[in-house]
Order: sequence, then structure tokens, then C-alpha cells
Amino acid sequence: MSPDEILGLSCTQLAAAIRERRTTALASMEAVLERAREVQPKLNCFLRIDEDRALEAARQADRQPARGPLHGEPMAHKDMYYREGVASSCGSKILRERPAPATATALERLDAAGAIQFGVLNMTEFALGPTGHNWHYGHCRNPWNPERITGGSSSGTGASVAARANFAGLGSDTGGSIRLPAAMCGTSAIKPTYARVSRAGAMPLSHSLDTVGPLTRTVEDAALIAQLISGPDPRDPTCDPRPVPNWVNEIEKPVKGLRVGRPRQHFYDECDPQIAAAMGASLESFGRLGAKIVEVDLPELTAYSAAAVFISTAEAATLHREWLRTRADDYSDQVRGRLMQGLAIPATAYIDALRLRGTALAEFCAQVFSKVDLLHAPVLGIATPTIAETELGWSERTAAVLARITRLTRPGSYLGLPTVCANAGYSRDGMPIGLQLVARPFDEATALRAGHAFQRATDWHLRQPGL
Amino acid sequence: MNPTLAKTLIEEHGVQPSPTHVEATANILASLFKTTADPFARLPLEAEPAAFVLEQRRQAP
Repeated sequence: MSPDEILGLSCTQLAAAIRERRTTALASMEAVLERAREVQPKLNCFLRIDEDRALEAARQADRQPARGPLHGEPMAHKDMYYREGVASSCGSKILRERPAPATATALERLDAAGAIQFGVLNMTEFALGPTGHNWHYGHCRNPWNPERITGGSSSGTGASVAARANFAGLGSDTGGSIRLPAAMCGTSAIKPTYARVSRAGAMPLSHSLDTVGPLTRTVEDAALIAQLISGPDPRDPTCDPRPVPNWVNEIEKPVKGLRVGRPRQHFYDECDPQIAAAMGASLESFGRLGAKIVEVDLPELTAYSAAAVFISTAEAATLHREWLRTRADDYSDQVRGRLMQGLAIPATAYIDALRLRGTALAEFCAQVFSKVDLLHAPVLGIATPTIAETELGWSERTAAVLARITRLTRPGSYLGLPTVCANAGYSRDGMPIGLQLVARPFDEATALRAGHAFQRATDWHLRQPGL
Repeated sequence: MNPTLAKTLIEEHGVQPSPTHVEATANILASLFKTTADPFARLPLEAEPAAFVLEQRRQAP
């Protein structure tokens, strides 16, 4: 296979090609490294590429029997998944030289499946921001238009996967950090149910909300990778103990009869008409697949988002308090300002935000999932902003700009709901438009099945940016 | 929240905020308090943080 043919494959397809000896791990690694070198000056999506080590690992993989379903697959991840003894910058100046204390469980599981990590990816400083700006290492740029933001905080994962400089990579999501870059860069993704994937060895931002998940080229790949990294982990006491269903085997089940909900409130308030039109077209696709489209009323989501901000900001400020005291100048202005805000949140507001969560989830499920199997909605209701117009220090105005970006993702973080993302079309100026399929807790299977069926019926996910 | 209180609360942690950050903190938190006042006030005495995990499990398919 030629390098271009290799780079055009999904993870699932590449794994089969390596297994069937139509290509090799080494050829795949050489192709992706060449592509990474080519796009890096334009996109700044990598923070480090471990070329020599990755090539040697690929040579070894070709000499060994298959280790698992990702045998020989090149992957790079957001630079906040620790490898023991290696520095993970977490997009920050503060951690750029600190050796990581232990390897992340998610990385150990991908290693065991045969994946080969070849680098680490740009991200928002300490994963605190939805745009993809990074004032220490340079902003990551969108492959569809380098003047636009990638979305964040998993900026490099979204950009590298979209640019075909990475087959798939881990992101993390506290308020939208997987879903937003997936939508803005036009990739697929899954934010699993909160507590489905171990957070051990992943940089913490907000213990109550942080979720680990992959950004991928297809929903099928998202199912495969999420399957591999999910499940109980004694190293993460919050990780749910239930076994993980076989999402890959179930993904081909038809969606005929599935009830897909179109929200009457919140998600289409202030929505860009081009985005609303793409959502309408994608709902028609689901209709043609035999799904039943049902309009649903939602509870008031604004208070959920506000409660989520109390939780994430208070928890993040607690983790960063000592550095805010001793190394305040080593933070960018926006991140420093957001973190300091958390120091002024009263304990009662933080605890009430946590107390409301169970009630809110019960209310949402009763109102939505009693009527539909999935909620279908845009990820972002506004046109993808430019890097320049979102280049902001911390102020009340910045908070308003960022809140508009996370408006459709933060409620799902608060409720901890599993969400699959897929590209649903393009704006007139060529920017991807992302849809999200939100399921009840621990029902990733239904969202993955629906997302996969949608991609079988459309070709939006196959288009590549003309870099 | 008034800016003086916001500044005092941040400084209590030994952290020195800029005037812009104090102003932003005061206004943003005031807005969040307003948005959450009603749902927080309606929480029953028995509502507790761990109820979220139980509810997740109860709602699982």
C-alpha cells in the first residue's frame, strides 16, 4: 500500500491491513511520521514526536505475533496522559520538566492492545479552555482553516486526526473538551459515561467531571478504542465496577425503530441557521434508516451549566492553589484568572452543585429518556470562531465568549452522559459541523450504533482538509 | 459578590489577583449565584452528592 492509501485508513481498517500483511507497522509509522512532519508547521498540533523510538517499536511489532486489536497502530495522545518517568507538559510551563509518577491506565490498555505511541499532542494549558489556544507552546490551528480555532482543550488530538497525521488519539472532557474539537475539526469521538474509563495517570482538572475518551476518524474506531480503555480499575476509586459490553460487536445492529429525540429547548436557541440545517438533514438520514424522530422537551439546562462551573472551577482551583501562590506568572492570563475565580467560590455553592446533580440526572432521564433512546443535537451552535477573535485574557467578556462555546456541551458533562460525536456536514465557508448523540448513563452502545449507522449512510467523515 | 469580598477571599489563600481578575470573579460568581439560587433553594434536606452515582446506576440500561 502507498503512504497515501495507508493514511486514508481508519484504525479498524489499518489493524486489518497489518494483520493481513497488506502493509506493515513500519510502513504505517513511516507514513504517519512523514505526514506529521508535513502538517506540523501549519497546525502546531504536536508537542513532541518520538520518531526513533516509534520506528524501533514498529520494527519490533512487525517481528512479533499480534498483541491485540491495535497491533502496530501508530497513535499520539493529548499531552496529559502520563508515562512513568517521562514529562507530560499538560500544555503548561509548570509541568514541562516534571517526570510523570506512573503510566496512565488508558495508555497501559492501549499498549496491551498493540498500539504504538509516537508523540504527544498540543492542548489547552491544564485542559482549562474550550478554544485550543496555548500561550506557552503556540496555538493549535484548524486543518480546515488555520485561522480558525480547533476547539479545546483536546486541540492537538482533533487537528492531528482530521489532518490524517494521526490515526486516533486520546482526549479528555470536563466541559466539552472532546466534543468541541471533534466538532470543529470534523472528527468522530466518544465522551463515555462519567466513571466508565479510568482516570488513573491522567492529569486531573476536576475529579467530579473529568472523562477520558478518544477522537477518531470513524465512530467504529471510537467504539473499538473506548472498548479497550473502559472498565474497572483498582487505581481509580471512582471508576465504575460494571463490565463493559461488547460495543464493537453490537455496532452493526440496525437502528430501525430507534427513537431519536430532537430537543425543543436550549440546543436550537441562538443556533446558526447553517448548523440547524445540517442537523435537520442528519435527522432526515436517521429517518431514512428507520429511526423515529421525536420532538422532546428538556428541563432548564442553564442552571446545570452554572452548577458545573462551580464544580469544575472550585476543584481546579484547589488543585492549583499552591502554584497560584508561588508560580502565578507561569500561567497564561486566561487560565490564571479562571483558576483564581475558584478560590472565591463558597463551600456551600460547591456542595449544592454536587447535591443537585443526582436530582438533575433523575429529572433529565425522566423527561428525555422516557420518550427517546437518544438525544440528537449540535455540539456547537455558532460558527467556528477565529483564533484572533478568541485571543483573550481573563475578563467577564471572556467568560461570556467561552460560555457560548460550551453552551451545548457543559450540561452533558454535569449529567455525566455518554455522547458520540460525528461530522454532519460543512458550512458554506468549509468548516465542519458536528452533531452529538447523547444516551442514558452507561448506554454507549446505543449512541455508537446510531453514529455508525449515520456514517454508513453518509460520507461527511470521509472528507479530508486540503492542507 | 462585591469585588472587595472577592479580593479578600482570593487573598486569604495567599494569592494576589489583578484588579481585572477581581472584577471578573465578582461579576461572574454573582451571575452564577443568581442562576443557581432557585434550584439550590429547592434541594431537599436529604439530597447528597453521592446520590449522583446511585442515580447513574439506576438509569443504566
